[in-house]
Parts: sequence; C-alpha cells; structure tokens
Amino acid sequence: VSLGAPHPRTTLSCSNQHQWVHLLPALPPPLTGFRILDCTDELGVYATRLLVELGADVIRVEPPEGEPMRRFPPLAPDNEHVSLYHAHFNAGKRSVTLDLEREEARAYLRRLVAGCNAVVESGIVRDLLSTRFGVEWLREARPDLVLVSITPFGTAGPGKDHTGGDLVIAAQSGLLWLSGRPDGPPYRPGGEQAAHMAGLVAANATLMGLYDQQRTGRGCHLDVPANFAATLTTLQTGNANAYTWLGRTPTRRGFGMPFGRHIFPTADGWVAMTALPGQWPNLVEMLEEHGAAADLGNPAYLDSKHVVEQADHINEVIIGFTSRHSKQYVFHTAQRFGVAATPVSTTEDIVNDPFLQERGYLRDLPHAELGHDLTHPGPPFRLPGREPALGASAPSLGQDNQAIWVDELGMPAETFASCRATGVL
Amino acid sequence: MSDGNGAWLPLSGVRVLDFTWMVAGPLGTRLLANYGADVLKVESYNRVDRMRETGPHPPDRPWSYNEDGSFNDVNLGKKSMLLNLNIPAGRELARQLAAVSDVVAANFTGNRLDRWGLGFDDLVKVNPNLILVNMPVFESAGPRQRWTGIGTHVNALAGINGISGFPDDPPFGLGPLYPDFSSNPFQAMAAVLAALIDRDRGGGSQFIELSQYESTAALLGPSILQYTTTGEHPPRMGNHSDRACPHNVYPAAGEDRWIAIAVSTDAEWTALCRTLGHNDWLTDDRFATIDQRFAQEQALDDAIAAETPRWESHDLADRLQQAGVPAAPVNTLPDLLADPWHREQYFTDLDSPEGAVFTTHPEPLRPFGAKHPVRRSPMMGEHTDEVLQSLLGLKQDEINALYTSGALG
Repeated sequence: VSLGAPHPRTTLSCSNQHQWVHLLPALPPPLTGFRILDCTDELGVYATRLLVELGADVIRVEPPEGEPMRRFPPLAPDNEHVSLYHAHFNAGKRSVTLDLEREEARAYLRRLVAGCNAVVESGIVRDLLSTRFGVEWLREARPDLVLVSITPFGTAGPGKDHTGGDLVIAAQSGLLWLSGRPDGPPYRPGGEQAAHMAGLVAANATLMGLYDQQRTGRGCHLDVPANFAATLTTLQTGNANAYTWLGRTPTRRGFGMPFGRHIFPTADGWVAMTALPGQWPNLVEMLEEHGAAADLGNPAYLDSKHVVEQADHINEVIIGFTSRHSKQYVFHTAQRFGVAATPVSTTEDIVNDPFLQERGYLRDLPHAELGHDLTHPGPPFRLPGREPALGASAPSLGQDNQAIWVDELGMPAETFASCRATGVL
Repeated sequence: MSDGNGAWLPLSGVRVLDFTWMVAGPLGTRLLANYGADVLKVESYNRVDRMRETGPHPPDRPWSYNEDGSFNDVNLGKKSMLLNLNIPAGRELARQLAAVSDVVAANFTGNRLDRWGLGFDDLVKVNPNLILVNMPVFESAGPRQRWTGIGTHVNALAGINGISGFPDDPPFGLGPLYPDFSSNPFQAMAAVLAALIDRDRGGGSQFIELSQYESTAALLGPSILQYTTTGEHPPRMGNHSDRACPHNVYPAAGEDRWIAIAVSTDAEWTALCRTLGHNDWLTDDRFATIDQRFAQEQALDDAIAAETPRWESHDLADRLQQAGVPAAPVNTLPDLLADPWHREQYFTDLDSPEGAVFTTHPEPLRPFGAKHPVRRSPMMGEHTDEVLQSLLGLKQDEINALYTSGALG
C-alpha cells in the first residue's frame, strides 16, 4: 500500500488570495494520501469528519449489521433506514465491514491497520479497539502508528471506567452548569458540543501525530479525555484564577453577558448585539439616526459604571429600537455603524443566508442509499487553491469492501468471497 | 520529538509568527506552543492585547500587564516581542521574521495585514512556503471584512443558540463564549497542521481563511440536513435527547445542585430503577419499553426528580456509575478544583516572574496517557532582544537604535 506519497509540487500563482473562488483547483487537499482507520462512536466521530475536510482517506470499520449510528435520529423523511445523523458525521468517509467478534477477523484487522497512518477510536475504555486488541498488537501491525483514543473521562484516574455520552460529559466537565437562567435548571449546549470539543482536540492530536510520523517515523498514543476537552469552555481563560484569587465563580446569566444584555427581540426574531469596548458612541449614533436614542447621547454614559447602573433603562431604549425592525435590518444596520451584532439564526436563516450562498458554503453531496443529494454544511475553513475534499455524503454499509480488501490490500478474490459468505466481512 | 524530560513535542522546530490577540487566535497558537512550536507573539504598547487587561488580576498586587489571569492562561509557552507595525521599520522587521517562520497567524479585522504590506501575497514573496491563517468573523475581504463580534455573536449567528436551551425560553444561547474555545481555535489549527504536513512533502504555501461563522456552523450536527430534507427546525430540547430516555439533569441535595442521568438501554433503565430504590417502575406498564418511556417522558422526569433530591449529586452519580448507568454530577468549576484527580491532572500552577501564582491548565490531550507539561506565558516584550539577536542576527546597538526609533514599542 503506497500511502502519503508526495503529489507534484505546483507553483500556484495566487495574485490575490481573496479571489480564490475564481481559481481553478490546483492542488489536492493537504492530507491527500493519508489513511485513517475510524473506530469512533458519537463521542469521537467529529474528529475523523474534520480529517475528511482536510482530504484524509477515512475508513470506517463497521460490524456486518452496521454501526448503531446508522439508526440515530433524525431519519431521512423518504427512507427511515437512513440516519441524517450518520449522513452528516460520516460524509466523505469510506465503509468496510469486519466482524471483530470473530477470531479470523484479527488477521484482517491487522492488514487494515498496517495500511493506515492513524487509528482514531472513541468510547468507554473497555470497548476501545486498543483495549480489546492491545496497543502493542496495533503497534506491531504498524510501528509508526498514530493512535488516538477518545474516552469520556480518560484512560487513567478514578473515572476511567465510567460511562457517559455528551450530556454526562458536559455535566462532569462543568460546561453544562453555565448555561440557562440563573433561577432555572442548567442546560447542555445543543448539538452535542462536549463531543464536538473532544473531536476537535482529537483531530489536532491526530494531525500532530501525523506530522511527527512523517518527519521522524515515530508513532504515538494520544489520550483525549472528552471531559477535559469540554473543561476548556468551563475555564473560559480566566475563570480558574478568578476563583483561586477572588473566590469568584461564573454563574448562569440568562440575558446577561460580560458586556451587558446580549440578545434583543426584533419584529421577527432575535438579534445578539453588544456595544463592545469603544463601540458605545457607534451604538448611540445608530439609535440617534433612528430617533430612538432617548438620553443615551448624554456623556455620562461614557462612564462604564454608569452604564452598569442604568442597564435596565439602556436595555429598554435599545429594545424600543430593535423591536420595530427585522433582525436582518438590525444586524446590518448595527454592523454598518460599527456595533457588534448578529442575528440569532434559525437553521432556516443559515440555509437561506445570501452571504453563505455566495460563498458556496452549503454543499449538495450524493447519498448512495437515498439515491439523491443531501445538503451538508460547508468546510469549516477555506483552503484557496485546493480541490474540494468531499465528493459524497456518507457511505452505504460496506460499500468499499471490494475496493479496500481486494483492490488495495490485495486480498485474493476467493478469500474475499468466502469471508463474505461466512460473515466475517 | 521529545525534550530531555520525555515530553512529547512533535512541533519542535516549527516557528509561528503570531499576530493574534484576544482568545480564539491565541488559544489556537497556544496548542502549537504547548507541543513544541516556537511561537513569537507580536505585541505593541500601541495596541495592547486586551487579555492583558481583562482580569482577573491577583489581589493586593500592583497593576501589571504581566499578571492578568486570562492572558496568562491563553498564551502559555509563547515568546513575546514588541513590534510597532504602524511605522515602516516595525513592518520591515515583521517581514523579516515572516521570512524565517513556518506559519503566520492573525485575527485582525478586515485586510489590515494587506494594508501593512504583510498580507499573504506580500509575505509569500519572502517565504515561498509560508502558511498564513486569518480568522475573521465573516470574511477576510469583501463587504463584511470589518464586521465585528465576539463569541456570543458567533454562537448566535452560527445557529448554536437556535438549538440550545428550553423551547419556551428566549434563545439565550450559552453562558460561555463557546466558539472561542472550540470551533475557531481548533479548526484553524487543524488546517494549519495539515498544511504543514503537506508543505513538508512539497505542497508549498497555503493561505487559510477561517470564517468564524462558517467554522462554528460546522458544529451544528445534522441540523442543516434535517431542515433541508424535512423543512422542520431541529427542536430545542433542553437536556432531552432524541435517542435516550430518561435523559436530563435532575435536582440533587443542596442549592443549585444537579445530577445528569442518561439512559439508552434496558439494562441501564433497570439499574437506574434499582439504584433509586424503585423496582416498582420496572413493572410499571407506562415505562416498560424505550418507546413508552419516551411517550411518558414528563411523568418519568417528574418521578425521578422526586427521588434525586434525597442524594448528594456526587454520591448518587458514583452509585449509578457502579451500577452501569451513565451519570455525573453537574459540576461547577470549584468542584473540579476541589477534586484531587482533576486538580492534579487537569490543572497546573505556574509562577509569574513578578511573583503571582497562576492556575492554568495543560491542553486536554495526554500523550501516552500522562499529564503534559506547560511553560508560563511571556511578559510583555520579554523576548524582543533575544528574538532579534537569534533570528535576525541583530547586534545590541542596532536593537537599541530600533527602540529609540519606536519600531519596538
């Protein structure tokens, strides 16, 4: 298996990087040729999804009956056997099947690992591939292997045998306690953000491992405790010192934020708007232009203490303005005057946002099992001069068995046929 | 690669010229610094990184730019050098440093770097293998290049507010400035690391634009697929889940204390009932199957919430975990600092040269399962002379002249 081969150096003439949308694709994505074995559950699946966006060849290993994620809601409205959750998190990946419960599978797994630069795994410790087969066994298959293990609470310490998904990790890490009304129950960030944080850290871990592998030929084993990853948001840079020095603990604030109330009602939804340091005169100018500034032009408001004391009055004045206009109007007007503001977007707003449409953010990618395209959110970053990394939505179960086992790993056709017959593959 | 003490430092030898400030950019370059990169943080008294003034500040100590509790968390392991980019000599030094760097990172609003002659097109002329990452809220160029926002706005804009919280509440979003600690630093650095890997095998230079809007909207999960296929908004579910029930936080003993419990399987359900002393729920027809439990979610939540206040959250979570039920106390930051394992493994105390002690944290990544060491953040301009001497070969009298001219201020 030839992996990581350099592609021809192209001197890309990029006279203005901002015109990149008009450039013809010149280079493959940066991780082209790097192969990742993806043994993640929902805790780590974003890590490998992000590596796909960079061009890695990510191979998802599934049991012959398919992984549980293929049944996670929401389901496609036209085919209840297709999970949109699965489609999102596995777009651009390949799928092979292997029944790891069977003894014969070991030899095939070994071949697969040998052909991969990295194994990324997630779940509770006892279920990890590296626990079941052994780190040393994986290393023997691939001496320079980058092995990344994402677990709820780490592979050491009192929580190492504990189980939990996004909610439980968000709770343990202190992340969950921070959101909500001061007088109500706390809630977890929507969209499984504790798991996303673990995935983000694990993707970077994998990349640093690959960098070292390419440069020194060494492998590594990197432990990503998901609760530790989520703790980054709990700490918010200064919170640990605020507590140890001053005994201050962050609290749930509802409407409140560091620079005052942060969301305001409009005629058709909500905006997030804040006069950041230095932007107060801009806010006043905007309100004055609309005849809605009341007394906020008074220089007394340039004293931030006065602003805090008069917060309720200020909010009332601002709401008097925002509630008369649409959220798009308030957003654009505020930004034009130099006040930080954004709409509180619904999913519909994002799908229909002309800014994202102009940038081609949403991507329609074919889903083989559905037989039509699905609309996926775009890449999280822009790499001008690179070809798009994704050509398809999520793979069908085992759709790449022939290509990977036979064509790429050289399994004889008879062996492949018998493995399929016996259910090993 | 590793240092003499065995720390895993895969990025040793990588040099980063770091113009980023505030949080999202510096947290990204902090990752690179903590794993071995030589990160040169460019600072100026004309435009002090607000994190040096944000606070908290250690009590009973004189004011100093060097003792901010926030700055010293997000700039671990970096060097700080003074450069005044408003004057040509300062910009020329920046250009020379970019020529000997692998990565340039910036999160200026708009095309500031281009206007200074330090944009990608300018710098790639002096460094044909340069990787430059810029992190605007919207875009690096175009009508929205100067539009501003912080984490709360990006959260709202990218749709996180829209899928968080309770359906009857306003879309408060999240307490923390979430994208600053997640999508933006880590996706920017993922792109930088991939570009570095490819550069080393001949891939050449790379401009990376990380639009914080696009980066954060990538963390919505299947919401966009759901809306575009069904026309339905993904619901705001509070602490509920569409694939586990019961799945919520419940009140525990004490004021504002809660426990999170998430039950996906029949085995976990059985163990939950037994641990709470409610074998009767196991024979209650309302709760017999997962589908029935979903249908009776409110009744089930009420029943559980009537039991949990009898327990301390940590105690009940331990018992549930021993029984095989996913559960955890809803911790506060003080809870984490009071827990011996977390205090030792997830936090690090570092001395400031001026005398304060900072509580900070390593990256949430444990090479070979062990705590990774970190080095303190730099004092303002601490490494200016050292960098100019070692990287640009300047002599002390030349450096002194640059100070006099205002280029280093």
